[in-house]
Amino acid sequence: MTLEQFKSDIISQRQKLLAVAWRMLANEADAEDAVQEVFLRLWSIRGQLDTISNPGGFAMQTTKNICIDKLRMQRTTVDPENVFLGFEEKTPYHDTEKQDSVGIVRRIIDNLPELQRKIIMMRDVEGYELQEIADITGSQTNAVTMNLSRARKKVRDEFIRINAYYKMKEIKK
Amino acid sequence: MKRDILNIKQLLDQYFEGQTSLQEEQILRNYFQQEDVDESLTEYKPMFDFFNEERVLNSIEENEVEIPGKVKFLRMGKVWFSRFSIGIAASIMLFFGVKFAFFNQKKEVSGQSIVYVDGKKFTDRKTIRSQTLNTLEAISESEDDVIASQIDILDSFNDF
Repeated sequence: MTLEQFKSDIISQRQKLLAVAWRMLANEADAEDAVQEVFLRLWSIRGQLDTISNPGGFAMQTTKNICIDKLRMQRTTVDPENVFLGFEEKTPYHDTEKQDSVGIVRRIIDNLPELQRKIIMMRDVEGYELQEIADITGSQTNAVTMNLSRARKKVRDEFIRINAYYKMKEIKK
Repeated sequence: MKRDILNIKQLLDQYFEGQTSLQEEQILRNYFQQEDVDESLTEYKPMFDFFNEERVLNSIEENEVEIPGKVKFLRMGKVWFSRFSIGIAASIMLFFGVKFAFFNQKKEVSGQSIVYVDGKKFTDRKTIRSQTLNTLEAISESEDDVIASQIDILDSFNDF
């Protein structure tokens, strides 16, 4: 499926999907994020979307599933923005192999909020332009820039904090 | 040199604000690929190393072609190899590599390991290892397969 087709079959459903997401999540920002995640998820399987007879209906179901996942997460976890990768309990960082710096970065990115993780990977790995990401997510470039900036800063700040922790441990030995 | 570092720092500030172009991000990636990064910037290197690794893996996946019902083909540089032939070649290399390791043990690893992907040279062991494992895992049939057991031997070399 080309980007143009994607825009006409999927992105065109944006208002309907947003309405459903807003009803389920009761929060405008969360609903916006959910719909962007829907578009990113469907974009990642665009090769198979041509075989689906009702792509709009599929997008609607995907929206509901993502909203249900978000509601489940809200009940059991804190806001991912405030997650502190602590070291008191056993985490992957206790594994000596994972102390490898690039491995630490990988873990941090895996723990980013889904939308931020996808946007940072699309930009920094796959080399998408900001406008392309905005087109795919049905949003504006300033929203993409904001999420990209947040993701990069989170990775930077978390890595510096974890790295400082391990250096301190080394000094104490 | 100081001016270069200043430029990189300015680019980095813009990068974290999401304000850099793709070309400017390539400048940052190229800078952090070198070994002698300025000390004030070393803490950013792992982040760019991660993205560079993922780009390499991504470019390999993009070069794969699956022909329905037939063996997967992989493009390395401008040459197409079947995964099967890569697997055979890799098995032969591993066999002699293992033989060498057991019968010619040295205290230090001499020489340099290199992998070329699309004409680009990588010398860091992590990239080389991940490239090798990806290819071997792709043609490995089962855990009882000889190649899978040789992957275990490859893992044990991490102790070097």
